[in-house]
Amino acid sequence: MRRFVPITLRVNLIIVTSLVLGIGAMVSWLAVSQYRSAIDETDRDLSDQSQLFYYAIKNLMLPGEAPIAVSFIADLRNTSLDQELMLWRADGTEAFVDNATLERVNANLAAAGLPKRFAPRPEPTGTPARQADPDGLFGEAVETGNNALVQSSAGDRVVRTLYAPLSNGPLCAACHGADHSVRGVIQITTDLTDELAAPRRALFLAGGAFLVLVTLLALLLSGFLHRAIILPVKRIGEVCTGVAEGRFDERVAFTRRDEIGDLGRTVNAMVDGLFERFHLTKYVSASTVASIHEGEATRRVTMTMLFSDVRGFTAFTEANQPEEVVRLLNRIHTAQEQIIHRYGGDVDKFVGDEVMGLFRGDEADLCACAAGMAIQHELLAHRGDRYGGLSVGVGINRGEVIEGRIGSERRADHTVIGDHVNFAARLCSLAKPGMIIVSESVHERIRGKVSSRGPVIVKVKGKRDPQRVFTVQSILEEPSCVQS
Amino acid sequence: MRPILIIVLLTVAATAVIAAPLLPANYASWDRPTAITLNFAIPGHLENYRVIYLNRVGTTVQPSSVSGKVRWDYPKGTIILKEAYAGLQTPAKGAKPIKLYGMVKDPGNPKAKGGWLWVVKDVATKKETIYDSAFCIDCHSYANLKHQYGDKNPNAEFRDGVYYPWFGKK
Repeated sequence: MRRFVPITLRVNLIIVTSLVLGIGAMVSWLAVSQYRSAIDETDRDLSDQSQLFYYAIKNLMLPGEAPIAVSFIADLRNTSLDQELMLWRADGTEAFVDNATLERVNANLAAAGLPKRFAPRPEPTGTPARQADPDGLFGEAVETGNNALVQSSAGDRVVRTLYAPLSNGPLCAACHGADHSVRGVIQITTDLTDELAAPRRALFLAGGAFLVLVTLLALLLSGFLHRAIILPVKRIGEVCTGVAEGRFDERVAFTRRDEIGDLGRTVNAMVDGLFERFHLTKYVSASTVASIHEGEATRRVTMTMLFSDVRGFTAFTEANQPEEVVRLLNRIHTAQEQIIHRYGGDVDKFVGDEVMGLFRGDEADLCACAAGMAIQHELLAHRGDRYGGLSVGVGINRGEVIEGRIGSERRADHTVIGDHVNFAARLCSLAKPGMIIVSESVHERIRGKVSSRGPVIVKVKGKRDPQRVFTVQSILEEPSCVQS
Repeated sequence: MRPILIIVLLTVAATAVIAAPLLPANYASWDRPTAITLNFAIPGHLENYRVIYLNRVGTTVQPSSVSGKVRWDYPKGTIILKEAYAGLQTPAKGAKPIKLYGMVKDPGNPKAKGGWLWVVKDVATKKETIYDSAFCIDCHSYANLKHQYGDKNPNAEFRDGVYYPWFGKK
């Protein structure tokens, strides 16, 4: 059997999963977008800065003011706020820290028959010359002439570096020679740590707030579902359980104007209907009830019929008040009905002071006789104090009868008819107070299990030939159909 | 069945268009904008003997005057193709260039710089590379100033970044 999973849990799971996947994905996407945006903006800044440096260097160098360019770069490096600025020659050595370039320019000019541009000067002092990593993106920038960008981590710091090549334009080539395309490379390194930390903090804060909100929402939703759906459904279940156990006094007591309220009212109406039908079953036989479930097909069946009739009832009705007559008759019928049921029979109908009981199955004859005997004992034992001095005669017969719905379209009984039914009624008419008369067919089936007298030959209405009948004196073998 | 066939054909055609080289192979019949032997080193093309070709569209270029300054704006579709041979010496008959440098006029192309696509084709691998950095246009922008190549642009005309412009058939 599948495990019980509360609806609140399922609904919460669906909602929380949807929120986490949907909003979580959106937050992640925003975080990634923010990160990429920060990187793109940094790259644009680096590119713009490198372009500015390039133009500054070019416009200082073209008039031959290399020393001013050196001073300019030195100032930039000293005042640069967040970036580290480097200027490399194409061979990877640091530019502007020695006189190598000046000497080469002088040599190129001399080779072209032109005077030297720069007078001898002392080597610039300061930090020792550094060397660019030729295997990194520096080499790529020199090789391709394109800008190269790389991001790297140093400890907990994140830096992004741009390598921007300086082209050896035609005007540059006049002094520097035409044997190379790239004069050098501008390297700008910027620290992204703080820029990336801010969106990361915002992301964690947003994520935390989102989780808290989702949790609160789930709790609120759970409480609402519990109050609005689970408790009413449980109450409806309790009412249905009560009905199943025969308690019809339970009702769903909420007056909400929504689907649950409608369901409650429907259940209440259903219980009312069931309660009504439950009471109606008292007024019809069990076979009638069964026929509702099994269909109303007419059929021939063999069964045992018990008829019981109150003796001296006409005189009793004349001598007593109607209320007393009905009270006593009902008491006698109630006792007989209970006994017939106890012995596995079914009361087919009450006709005035007469009871018609039906018994089915292999033991039907013995059960009917035992029921008749029990009726006689009950009435005899309490004849004076409970049953107004009245007694009954009992007739029992067995045979094939026609079972079906007998009556009109609007009012009908599910009952049995036939010659054997009539014969059982005739036997009842013959029985003296306290007597049980059975047909020969019944007697044949209970021989040895009861004490009987007979046969007595009787002539009954509806039968052309005289009939052999017996009277039952006592039950020798208790039938298995008896219920406690 | 027919729509699928049409889609397949269109896809093949589109692929062919997309894969069409920027620098066509039949440039040998094009005009040459300069008769100067380009056997000297220059930045960008270094020590390679060079021969320049101009396609038919490029030969329709006409000068204009804007604020008293002459402009040579090459029409869209112009292709200037520069063969680069190994070394500066005159190539032997039948020798093939090692690289083709191309300027393709396509102002609307997002990879264009100064209205030109700057293309380098490795002849051996036939691989074309578009240079969308400022590297090429940076040097060629000096063609719009007085310079030391060709006619040296003595009047500093705007020549659309072309050092050896087309002045019509001599």
